[in-house]
This record gives sequence, C-alpha cells and structure tokens, in this order.
Amino acid sequence: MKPIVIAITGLNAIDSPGPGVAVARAIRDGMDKPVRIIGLAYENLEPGIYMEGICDKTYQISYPAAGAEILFNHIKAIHEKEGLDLIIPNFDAELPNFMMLAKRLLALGIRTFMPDAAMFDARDKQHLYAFGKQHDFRVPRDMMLYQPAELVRAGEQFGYPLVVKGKYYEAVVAHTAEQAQKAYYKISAKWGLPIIIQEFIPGTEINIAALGDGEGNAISIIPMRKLYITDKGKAWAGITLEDETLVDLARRFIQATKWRGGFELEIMRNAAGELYIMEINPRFPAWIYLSAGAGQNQPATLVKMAMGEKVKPFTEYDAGKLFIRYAWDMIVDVSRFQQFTAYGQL
Amino acid sequence: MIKKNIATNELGFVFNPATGDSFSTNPVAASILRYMRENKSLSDIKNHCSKPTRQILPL
Repeated sequence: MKPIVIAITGLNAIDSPGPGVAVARAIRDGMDKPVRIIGLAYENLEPGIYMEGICDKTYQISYPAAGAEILFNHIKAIHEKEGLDLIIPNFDAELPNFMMLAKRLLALGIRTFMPDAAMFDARDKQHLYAFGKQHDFRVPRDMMLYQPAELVRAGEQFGYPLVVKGKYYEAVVAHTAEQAQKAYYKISAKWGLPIIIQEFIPGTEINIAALGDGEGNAISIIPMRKLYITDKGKAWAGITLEDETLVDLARRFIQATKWRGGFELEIMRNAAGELYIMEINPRFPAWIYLSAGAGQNQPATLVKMAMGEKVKPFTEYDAGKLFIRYAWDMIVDVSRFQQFTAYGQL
Repeated sequence: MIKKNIATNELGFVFNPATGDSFSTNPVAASILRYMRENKSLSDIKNHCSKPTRQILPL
C-alpha cells in the first residue's frame, strides 16, 4: 500500500518550539494508513531533522522572505523525488507563500488544508481588534506603531503595563516607558514594523487548539490552561480544561470565519471570568500533541480531511490531561550534520 | 453541593477541570469533601468533623 506522503515544516523543537515535531508525532499515532513524513527545514540544526521516528527524510528549503516562486521551485523538485500528497505548513510567516501557491500545488497533485487569504488576514494581529468588534469577541484595544515616538501616545492611552508585540512573533509586557522602548527596538529589529501595542489584560492564560472544516463546522476543540510558562511566554506544561464557554468561543470563531485547518486561540480569562482573545495563530500550536493525548487527534484528522475523508466532529475529550515538555540531548554524528548542511537533505 | 465535575481522591487531591486548578487538602477537608459528595447533611458533616482528627481518619 502506497503511503500518504506528507510534508511538514516547523521542525525547530527548541525553547520557543515550532509545531512540526508534535504534528508529525500525532499523525504517526493517529493514522490507520501508512504515512511517509517529509520534513521541510530552514535551518540545519532544527532538532526534528535528526530525531528518530519523526521524519523519514528532510529537505532544506529557503526562508519565506525569498518569495513564493523560489518556494514553489523547491517544492516541485522535492515532489518529483517524493511524490507529495499533502503539505502542512506550521509557521505563520510561511503561510502567505503557501496560500499563494495552493492552486499551483494542487495542480501538481499536492493538497493543502489551510485558511484562505481573507480568513488569514481577518485574524492578523493588525486587524484583530476590528475583527473582534465585527464578530462580537472581546479583544484588547491595540495600536499599530511605525515610530518609537508614538510609544508616548500608546502609554497615555493604555497606561502601564502594556504589551509590545511583533508583527509575527514575540510579545513583551512593559511596565515602564523605558521597557516599552527597549522592546520596540528589539522586536522591530527582528520582525520589522509595525509594532503592535496591546492593552494589558491581567488574568489566567488559556489556549485553545481547534480544527475547522472550512464550512463553518468545528471538528475539534481542545482548551488548555498553561501551568508552566517559560520566559518567552511559551507553555512548558499545560492541562486540558472542561469548560463549555471556551468551547463555545472557539466554535463561534469557526462559524464566523469558516476557518479551514488548524488554529490556536490565545485567551486571557480575567477575574470576572470574561474571555479576551489575545491572539489567533493560523496553524497548530507546538503543544498540539496534547490533542491526541486528550482523545481528539487534530493533526491526523486534518490529514484525513485533506485527503477527502468525511470526518464527524469530535464530541468528547479528556479533561485533566497534562503535557509536560522536556529537554533531551540527542547525540548526532557529524556525518549526518554534514550531509544535511552540504546536500540540503537527510 | 460539589459540582459533579470536581475530581477528588482518597488522598485529598482536588482537581477542578474547569479551571485546571488543583489542591491538596488536609484530612479534615478531604473528609468534608467526601461527605458532601455522599450528599450527607450539613449537621452530619458538622458532627463528624467535630470528632478528634484521629477518629475522622482514615477515609
């Protein structure tokens, strides 16, 4: 039986991890058909390239900034060798290129299961507040900054603390104007402009991983409370929650956007129990393997849907399932590193 | 009245699946929770818990 050949990105299982390793692991656990997983890596030290039992083969691809055409040429060359059936992109920054190429990839026989550009833009950090207003979701007030001098106005409007956020990644809670300015320069140097200043909402951080079918139906929704948060704000441990208000929120989001594919809602629940959407990530989160642990394997379900299988929405999951991330040193012979560095494949 | 989804065990570990909070209770609190789960009346629980701690144990 020919395996389903699935390419995935996001193999950087580091302290601020990409979701690729968890996605691959969940797919291997949840598929009743053979799969061959092809890793697509940007850097030659992404751990997922070298981990046993994750990727059958990995190829290096160019950074998203190189543009869609170069990406297409890379994918086409990989497809000629591997016969790809499906690509699951796992980074925010690469999604616009993949969305632009979706039809051309399909013409080659490569499927995707992603949001379209309208869905993607609606939840963008730069449009999130307007999106919330339009669909009646609570979203903290925000401001787009293109000049550091505008921080004064942001400070006056929101007071301190406030949150300084990058266009794609990173967020810093700044308690003073000096901290805000430092974060502005640091984040804009890395991710460009605008910088997003967001009102600070104190409360409990909750994330929701969900999967939409593109027709407004929620196939799976798993809420998780962060139990241990790293200095980069990432969940290092978390637990699934049983709370219908969280499930309803994600369901309303899917209905409003007709979301296609996986996504993550970052939620803050304040002392009054109100739920604020802090951010919407347009792909699976790094903790997505917990969805498999809780009984709703979202990555494997996405593969089934992408391959044309009719999937019924999940109705139950286990509350009280924990994930606890850990660090583990792999020993890798330099020959493997050389192979990937020199030939761009392993 | 304890919400049905609140999980407790004989060691006095309490888990609220709605919030993800968990607690370790002392033996008296664990007994109170157990009796509440068994729908004992408030006066029964009071009577029982007014006994010396040794008599409340074991659960």
